[in-house]
Amino acid sequence: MTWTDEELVARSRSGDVESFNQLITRWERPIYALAYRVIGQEEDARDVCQETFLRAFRGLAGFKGQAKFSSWLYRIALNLCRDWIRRRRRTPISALPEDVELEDLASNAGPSESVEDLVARRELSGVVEMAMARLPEEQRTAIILKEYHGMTFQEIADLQGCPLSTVKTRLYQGLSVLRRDLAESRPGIGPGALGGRA
Amino acid sequence: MKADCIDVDALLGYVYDECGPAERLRVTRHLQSCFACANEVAGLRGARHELAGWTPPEVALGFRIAQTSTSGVSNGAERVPAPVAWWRQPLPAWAQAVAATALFGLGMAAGGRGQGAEVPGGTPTSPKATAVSATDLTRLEERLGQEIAKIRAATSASTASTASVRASNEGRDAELLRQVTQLIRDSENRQQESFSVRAAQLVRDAEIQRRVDMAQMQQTLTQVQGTTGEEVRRQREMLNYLVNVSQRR
Repeated sequence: MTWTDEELVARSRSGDVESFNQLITRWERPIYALAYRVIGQEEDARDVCQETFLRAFRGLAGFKGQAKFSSWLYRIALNLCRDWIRRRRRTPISALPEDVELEDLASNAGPSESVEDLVARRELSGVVEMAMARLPEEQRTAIILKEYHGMTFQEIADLQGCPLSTVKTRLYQGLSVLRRDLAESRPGIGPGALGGRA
Repeated sequence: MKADCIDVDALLGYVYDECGPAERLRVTRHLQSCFACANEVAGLRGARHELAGWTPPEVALGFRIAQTSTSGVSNGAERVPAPVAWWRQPLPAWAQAVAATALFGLGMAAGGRGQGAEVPGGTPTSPKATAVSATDLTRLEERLGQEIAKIRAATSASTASTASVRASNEGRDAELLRQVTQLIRDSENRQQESFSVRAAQLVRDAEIQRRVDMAQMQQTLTQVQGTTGEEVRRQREMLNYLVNVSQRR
């Protein structure tokens, strides 16, 4: 039987640790992906992910269910990412992806994907990662939440603690910069292919 | 961009499909007549398409919250008994037996030395006193026997506890072994994939090099053929000239 998040939270609050472990299994990948994309470091993203679940477990008594459990988790993870970025401000993450071992991405290859496709996808992934790393944190986070976690503008506004219009501005500015950067770093595309308002 | 162009909010709502049907219709109609806005929408969609190619690396996660008896939780680590000082650890049975024997011997020696000894300021020890001392020794022996039995019982309980801890450790070792095996398997898979990627790159490089070499060879051959043809032509001319000269003579 598959329990909903809310049911598992209720069981966890009554002391059923295994229910909480089911929640971890369900949410650890998205939380890790969020942390990795925001901070750009594999090991630190793992740590942030683990700390997120520990804090959630310890704070279960304080979770009253006003928001979705996933939103609550995302908020904890984003706060931890923000703390991490503050601590590491002296070493900007834009420098990180340069020495990324591209072979590591090979593990993402789908069963029907050819090696040539994999190499191309790997290069694209690296280019996008570099471009994203150069964006300001708020814009990057807004894009990540929208593109990879499918949140609505309002959900992002709630998570980032800002008005709806600010979220849209962040998204628009971030996408515009990204579009320009991608066109520059991949000359084959050309600015025209990615558009540009006259 | 014209004055009546749609604003950024509406554009984003359209691109992310977060607008009502009326708004969508309005934007669609505008895009049909405004190249700038249509270009902008195409650009935003292009950027989104590029973003879809960014995948985080696959890592082994598997966090677990483990229940413990005292603190309630621990992040995956089992509780390990606190270390006990060596002098508080129970003695082995043979050491306890040696200690008991030594104590008994000392008691016997003390009793023997007391026979016939004079107590300062008192009377010599009487035969009755000797008989009482033997009884005491018997009682002492019995008490020591009881103490040793108690200690042995405690030791066996401790051994049982150690056995349970050992069983727990064995379970943990098995889990650790399983995880290590999994890690090794993952690592092997990664190495195989990495090898495939490198092999493909090598094959591609070799193919490119082969084509370059072939092109160079073709070029050289063409030059050689050209040179040879030129030489033959000159020789023919020379031969014709000689024939002509000889015929004139």
